[in-house]
Amino acid sequence: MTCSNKDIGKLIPAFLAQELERAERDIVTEHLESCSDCKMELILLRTLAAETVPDPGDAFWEETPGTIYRAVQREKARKKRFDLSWFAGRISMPRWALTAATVSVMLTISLLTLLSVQHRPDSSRSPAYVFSDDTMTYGSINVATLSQDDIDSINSWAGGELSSIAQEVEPVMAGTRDTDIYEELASLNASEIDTLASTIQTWEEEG
Amino acid sequence: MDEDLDLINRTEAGERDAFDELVKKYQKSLYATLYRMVSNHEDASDLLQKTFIKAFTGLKSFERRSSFKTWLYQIGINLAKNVYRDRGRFNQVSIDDVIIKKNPRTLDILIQNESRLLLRKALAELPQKQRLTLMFRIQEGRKFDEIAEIMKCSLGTAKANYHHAVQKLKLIMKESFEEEKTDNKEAAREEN
Repeated sequence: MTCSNKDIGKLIPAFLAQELERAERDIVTEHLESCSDCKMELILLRTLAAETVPDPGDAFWEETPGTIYRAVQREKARKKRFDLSWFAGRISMPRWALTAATVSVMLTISLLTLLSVQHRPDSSRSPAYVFSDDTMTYGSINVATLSQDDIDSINSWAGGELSSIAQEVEPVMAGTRDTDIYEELASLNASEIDTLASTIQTWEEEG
Repeated sequence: MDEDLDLINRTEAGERDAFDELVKKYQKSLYATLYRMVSNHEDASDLLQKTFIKAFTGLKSFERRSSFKTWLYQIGINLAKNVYRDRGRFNQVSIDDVIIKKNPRTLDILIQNESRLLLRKALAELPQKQRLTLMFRIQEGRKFDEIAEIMKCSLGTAKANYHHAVQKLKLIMKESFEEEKTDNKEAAREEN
């Protein structure tokens, strides 16, 4: 016959685990004496609890962390290899195509950077100055209102402009420095020497 | 900071000692749970390794909302469930050879072993959730809130699973004893 006292049923696992207070333990003990259903439940559960797991031995427990550690390292390495091969699989295109793709990306980035530098001053925040291809016109600029980005843009633009001017001027300057004045004079004809002499005389008269 | 979380952080930082400490802390109890589910050392040992490997290679997915222990058991139980699914059911276990080898083969022991065999068969007939709940509560002495967390169900469901498991187990055992009684009576009648 099934026991209808559900409160006792709830206490049986704790009774088995010896977790009950003395008062509760006495109630369960008293109930078990007269209830075959609960007694059977207790025997069943006690048998179940007594089911022991065979110990694989100290050697097993000592080896397990190392075994697992090595297996984890292997698994991580396998995953890493998989990731690299996945990436490599996707870039296994012909060398010329890879080069072309790389150059395209670099050109795109350069173009975007250039456009960004040239168009930034046109923004509503800095209406007072405008860059064009060969001139820079400006109205009144309050330097204090320029942001760091604006200053960086100007620096970048000016750096580019000065660099190109410097490249053009440099050979001329170098050429001037390398020319010998005496050789220049020696190459003049009589008429040119007369003109030069009269010019020098005029400069001296004018002070 | 929680001791396990500290060990996990150190493990992630590459400290081998912390790794070993975490494994040593849980290997025995986890092995016992897995053994109870699969009933043999080879599978339990294999599952133990797989559980730790899955946990340590997936530490980034451990959200630290539940305890590491609960998370570890969830992984282990899910892996063991796959073994269960592959077999169709948990192992139908035989009489414990160790006891028979160590003790004289007295009638009492054989009867005891027979009862245990019946009990194991009855357990194997329980639905998986009920069997696991019973195992956690009775064999591992876990509280219902912990069982609910591991089994990813409500406290009420965990208690209900336990109640149904016990009732069904009693019923199966009663039927088995009744069958045995009837068999014995018939055998006695035939002898007379």
